[in-house]
Amino acid sequence: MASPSRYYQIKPGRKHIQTSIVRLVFLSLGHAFQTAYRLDPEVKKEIDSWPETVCIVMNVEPDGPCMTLVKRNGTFQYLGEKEIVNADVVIAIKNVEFIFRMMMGLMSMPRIIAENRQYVKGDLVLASSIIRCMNRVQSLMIPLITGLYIKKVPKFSWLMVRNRIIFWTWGVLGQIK
Amino acid sequence: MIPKYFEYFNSVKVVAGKQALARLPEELLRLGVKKPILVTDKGVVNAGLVKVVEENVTGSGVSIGAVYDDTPVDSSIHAVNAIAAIYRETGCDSIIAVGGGSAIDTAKGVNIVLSENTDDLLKFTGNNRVRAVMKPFVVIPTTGGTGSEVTMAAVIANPDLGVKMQFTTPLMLPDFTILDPRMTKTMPPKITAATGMDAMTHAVETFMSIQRNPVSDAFAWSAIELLVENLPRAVTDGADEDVRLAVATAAMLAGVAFSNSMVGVVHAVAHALGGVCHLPHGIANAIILPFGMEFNLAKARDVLSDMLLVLAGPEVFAATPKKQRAEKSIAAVRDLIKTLNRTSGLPVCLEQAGVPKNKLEKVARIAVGDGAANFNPIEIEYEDALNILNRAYA
Repeated sequence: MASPSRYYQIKPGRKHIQTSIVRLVFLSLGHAFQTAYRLDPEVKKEIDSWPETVCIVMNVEPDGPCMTLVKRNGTFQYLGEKEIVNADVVIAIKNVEFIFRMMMGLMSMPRIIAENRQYVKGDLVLASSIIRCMNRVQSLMIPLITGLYIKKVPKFSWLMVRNRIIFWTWGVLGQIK
Repeated sequence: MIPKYFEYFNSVKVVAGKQALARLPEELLRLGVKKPILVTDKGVVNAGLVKVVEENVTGSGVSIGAVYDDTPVDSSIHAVNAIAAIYRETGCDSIIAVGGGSAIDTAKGVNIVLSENTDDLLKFTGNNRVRAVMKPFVVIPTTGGTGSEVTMAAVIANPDLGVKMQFTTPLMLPDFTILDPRMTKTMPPKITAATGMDAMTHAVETFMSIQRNPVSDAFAWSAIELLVENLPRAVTDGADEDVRLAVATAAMLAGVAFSNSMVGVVHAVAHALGGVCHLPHGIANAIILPFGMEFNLAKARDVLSDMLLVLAGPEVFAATPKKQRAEKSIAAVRDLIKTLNRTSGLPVCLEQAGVPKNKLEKVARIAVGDGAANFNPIEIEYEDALNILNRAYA
């Protein structure tokens, strides 16, 4: 009988490039949420309808990058990758490959939901509201090719253009809180 | 054409047919259990249906450990915890749900509480949060519409917090379900029509959903075929067991379909109508369905065109020009609803169903936030939902 050492082991390894890109985009997305709360009346209205204090985490399984957002004291803040034990809603993407493809415009968030590539811990109604906000935030971030990321692209408005400019100059650096 | 990616799962054994309930003891013993708790409601007891279950258990080696018949109309955490306590005290080893959606959802909640050994269901809200090995679980539906006997979801109210907790996990699926026509024979015509239209809505929305796949399509197609042929007859001649079995089977098939491909705008609006105006789910679905189909026409035209074959038959399908088939499908659904209105009094518009017009704006706001909206092919906004409601009003 052959010795077990003859049979090679497959170790999980890491996807460093995808993880780094996802981490960077989460940073931008988090700042975009923060900016949109200040500049976009639709996003503000949606977030104001949530409970007074809400903590949201979007992460990548099993131990990938994450994005923590918190609503409290009338503000909405991005807290980076701060670990929160009892977040109200956790949107967990099952593999870094899926979120990476989404960020590259190869897979939209509605498609990720439809294909069961994510799961939600917490209130599903609140999670739906978060996804709606995320759609609006993505349209703030991404001009022209927004249709690759969301189901319905908002109608053109100069306000959106202005907000986009403000985001890509100041907001993306986290300067709008 | 099949989607680039899809998933399908359903592990429920279906035992269906005349005298199917006689298989109950043997199936329980096969699972290694013989003292189930029976979860039901007063309506089912008063209709004599628990007696039918009792007759089939007599002399079998299986005893019913306890019968809990206080399940409320909307499943509640209080009922779940009470049932779990009785289960433990009486030494039961399995759960049987006999009833409609609320008894079944309550039993699913009980299974989570017992299997996870918890008294706080809130910790498990969301999807795929449950990890424990579940207790043996059987469903005997007494309505022909919800499909809850084959779905991976449950909604349980927490009146103390004023929230409805939603759970989805494949682990909630029962080990087996029994479709015995005796259990739906006593349903009055209007409820038969309403629950049948609930099943029809599940099947039609499955085709329009962004999560649709070839497996769910096959189930949905069979469901629509059975409903078109048998639902009107079940309403006018409820004593016909063959017809009752066909409708119950259609509801089960539609349940399997939508459990794997979800629903869309019709259910989003119907859930909101139920929450705000307490409109029964089947009636809400029946009223909104044709308007939901019209709303999705831009993205679902091909699918709705193909559906004409099963909705209206091959002659009508062949005689209708391809460009008009989608509209003709919607007309066929409207005709079915009108027939059910004539024979059972099923409302055809929201005004007839007693929905106050001043509530429509609130309904539209809530509909937009419903989880079902995520799976609709077209994004639903407040104005869209309000437009559907206004058109469905009179």
